[in-house]
Amino acid sequence: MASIHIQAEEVEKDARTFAPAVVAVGLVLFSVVVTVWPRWSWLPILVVLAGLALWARESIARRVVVRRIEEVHAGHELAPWEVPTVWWFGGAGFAFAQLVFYLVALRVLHAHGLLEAGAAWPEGLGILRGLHGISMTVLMLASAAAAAWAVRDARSDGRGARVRIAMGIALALGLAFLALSALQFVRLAGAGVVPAGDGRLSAVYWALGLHAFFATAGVAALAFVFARHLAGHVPPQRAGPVAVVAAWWITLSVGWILVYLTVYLHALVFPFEIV
Amino acid sequence: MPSRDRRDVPRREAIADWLFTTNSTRTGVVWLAATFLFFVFGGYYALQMRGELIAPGETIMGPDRYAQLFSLHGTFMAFFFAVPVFFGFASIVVPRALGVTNVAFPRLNSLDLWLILVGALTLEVGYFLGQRPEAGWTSYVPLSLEPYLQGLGEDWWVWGIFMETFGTLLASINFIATILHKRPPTMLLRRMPIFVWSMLLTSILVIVAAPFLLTALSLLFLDRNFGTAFYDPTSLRAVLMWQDLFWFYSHPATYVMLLPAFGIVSAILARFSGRPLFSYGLIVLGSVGVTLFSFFLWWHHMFTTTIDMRAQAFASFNTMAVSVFSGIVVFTWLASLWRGRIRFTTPMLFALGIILMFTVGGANGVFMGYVPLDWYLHDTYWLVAHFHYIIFGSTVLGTLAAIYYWFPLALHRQLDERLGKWHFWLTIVGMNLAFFPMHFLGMDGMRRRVWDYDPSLTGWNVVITVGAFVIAAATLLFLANIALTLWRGQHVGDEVWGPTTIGPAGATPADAEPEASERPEGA
Repeated sequence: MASIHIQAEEVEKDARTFAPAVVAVGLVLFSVVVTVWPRWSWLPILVVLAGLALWARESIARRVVVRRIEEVHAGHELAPWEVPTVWWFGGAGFAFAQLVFYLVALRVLHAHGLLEAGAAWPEGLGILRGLHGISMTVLMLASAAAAAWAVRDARSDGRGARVRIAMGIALALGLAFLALSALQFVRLAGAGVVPAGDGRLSAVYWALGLHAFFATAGVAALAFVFARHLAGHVPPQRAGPVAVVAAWWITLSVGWILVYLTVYLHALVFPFEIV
Repeated sequence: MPSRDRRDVPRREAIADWLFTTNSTRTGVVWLAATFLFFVFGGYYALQMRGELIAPGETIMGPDRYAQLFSLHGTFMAFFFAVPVFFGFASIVVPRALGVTNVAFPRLNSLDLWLILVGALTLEVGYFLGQRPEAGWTSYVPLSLEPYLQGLGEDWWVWGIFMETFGTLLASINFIATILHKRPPTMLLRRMPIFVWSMLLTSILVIVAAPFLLTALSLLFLDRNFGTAFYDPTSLRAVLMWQDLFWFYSHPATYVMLLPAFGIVSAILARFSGRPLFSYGLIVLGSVGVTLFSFFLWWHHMFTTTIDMRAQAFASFNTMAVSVFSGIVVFTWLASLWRGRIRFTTPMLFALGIILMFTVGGANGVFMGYVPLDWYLHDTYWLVAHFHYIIFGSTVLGTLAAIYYWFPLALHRQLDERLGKWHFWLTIVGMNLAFFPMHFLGMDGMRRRVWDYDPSLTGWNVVITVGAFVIAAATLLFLANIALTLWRGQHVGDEVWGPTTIGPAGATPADAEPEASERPEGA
C-alpha cells in the first residue's frame, strides 16, 4: 500500500519523461536528413517511432498505477462516470483539427481551378472512378460505423467481447481501405499520372495523400488500442482510448466524403472566386 | 529507528528534472526561459539591422545579409517568441487556477516544449552554417521557391516553423482538454478566471487556424524539393494561395499574441487597482468578439493584390468591427482604474503601459484597415510601426508584466521592485523612441525590408536605432534582475502581492462584485 502511494505522488506530480524529447529530436533530424541525405530519411523516422513507443510504455505504466490509486481512494470499483475522461476532449480536439485539414485541401483544389463548374480535371484520373472509389467509400463508412459501435459497447461493458469484435472489424476494414488506397497510388503512378510539374495533379495528390496519411495514423492507433484490449490490459469501464480512436475514425470518414465528392465524382463546386 | 529507505532522502534537482518532466510548472518555466531566449536572439538580429540602417548606403553589411537578418528577426520574434510564450504561462497558471495538479496530457505538454526548442534549433544551426532564410518571416512565393532561393536555408525555415506551429497546435488541444474537462464542477464557464478564458479562446484560435499554415508550409516544401507545382509561378491564383493560407493563420496568430495579454492585464488590474474590475462579462465579451472576428480579417494583408473588391470591403469592415471589441476591453480596463487606489507596482506599471501602447497600435492599425489608405501605407514603415506597437506593446509588455507578477508563484522569489521600475521606464522610452518615428518614415514612403534609403530620412532612422539600443539596455537590466533574484533572492509565499480573495490567475467574476467569493478548489 505504501509503495503505491509513493508512486502515486511521483506519477501525479512529477515524473521523468524522455519520450517527448526523443520524438522531437527525431523530427528535427528528419528535417535535416530529408533535405541533405534524402535516402536516409527512414533513420530519423525510426527515432520518432521509438519515441512514440517509449511514450506508450510510460503512459501505460502511469495509467495502471494511477488507476490502482483511484480505486484505493474510492474504496470501490469505479463506475464509468467516475473515471476521468479527458480523452474525450483531447480526441475531439484532434478530430476537429483533422477536419480543418480537409477544408484546407479543398482550398488547394480550388486554387488550381478544380472546384469550378465544368473544371478541366487532369487526364488519367478515370482510374479513381467506378468500383475502386465505391469500394473505398464502403470500407471507410463501414469501418467508422464499427468504431462507433465499439465506443457504445465500451461505455457499457468495457471489457466485454463485443468491444473487441467491433474494434477488430473496424481494424480489418481500415486495413482493407489502406490497401486499396495504396493500390490506387500504384495504379496512378503506373499510368504516368504523377504530380511532377503539374499544379492540378499536385492538388489531387495532396487531397488523396493527406487522407491516406491520417488513415494510416488512425489504423495504427486502432491497432494499438485493439491489441491492448486483446491482452486484457485495459481496466474495466475505460472507454477513453476507444473514444479517441473512434472520433478520429469518424472524422476520417467525413473527410473521405469530402475527398470522394471532389476528387472522385467532381461533384463539389464552389460558385465564387475571390482570389 | 530512522528509515533507511533512500526514497525518504530528498534528491538534489538536476537539469533533467526540468527538461524531461511531466510537471507542468517546470515545463512552463523552461518554456518561458526558452521563448525569452528566442526574444533575445530576435533582438540581437534587430540590433544588427538597426546598425546597418543608422546611415544610408552600406554601413556594416550588404543587402543579402540584411535580408537574412530581417527574415530571422521576424521569424524568431513572431513564431518562436510571441506565439508560444503565453502557453508557457498557461502551463504554470492554468492548472493552479483550476485547482488541479497538472494539465490534461502532461507528456504532450513536454512534447510541445521540445518541438518549439528543436524548431528554433533548426534555424539557429542553419544560421551558424550559413544556411539562412532570405524571404522574410512571411516567405512569399514565388521568391521562396527553389529556382529563386536555393540552398537549405529556406527548407530549414519551413521545418522550423512547421515544428513550432505543430507544437502550438498540440498545446492548444491540451489546454482545451484541460480547461473544459478538468476544472471543478463548481467552476462554471462564467466563473472561470479571465486568464483561463483568454487561454481557452487562444487555443480555439490556434486549433482552427494552424492547419492552414501547416498545409502551406508542407506544400512549399514539396514544391522546393519534390517537383510538385502547388505554387505554380505562372498562375496568379496559385501564387496568391500562399498568402491566403499563410495569413489565414497568421492574422489570428496576432490575436494568439494578444488575447492572453488581455487576461494578464485584467488579472493585474484586479489586484492592484484597489477596486473590483468594472465588468467581468464585458471583458469576456470583448475577448470572444475579437476571437470570432479574427477569422474574417486576413484579406486585409492582401489589399494591394488582385483579390476581388468585395473581399477587400469585407475585410475592411471586419477590421473596423474587431476594433470595437478590443475597444470594449480597453474601456472596461479604464473604468476599472477610475477612482481606484492604484498601487504602482512593477506589474501594474507594465499593465498600464500595455493599455497605452496597445491603444496606439490599434489606432494606427485602423488607418490601414481603410483600403485606399492601405494602398499607400502597405509595406511602408507605417505598417512596421503598427505591428511593433501591437506586438511589442502587448505581447512583450504582457510577458514582462506576467513574469513580474507570477515569478513568486512559479519560483517562490520576488524580482527586485526598484530594478523592475527602471526596467519599465527604460523599456517604454526605448519602445517609443524606436517605433513612433516609424510613422513619419512610413508617411514619407520609406519601404520596409530595405537595406538602403533616401538620405533625407536619416534623422528618424538614427532616432529609431538609438531607441533599439535603449530597449536592449532595458532587457539586460531585466536579465540582471532575474539573475540576482535567483542567486540571492529570499523565498516568498504566494501572497507576496498582498492578501487576496482570488486565485492566482486573478480576475474571477468575484472581482467584479463587492463581496468576496470562495477561492477555487486547490488554488
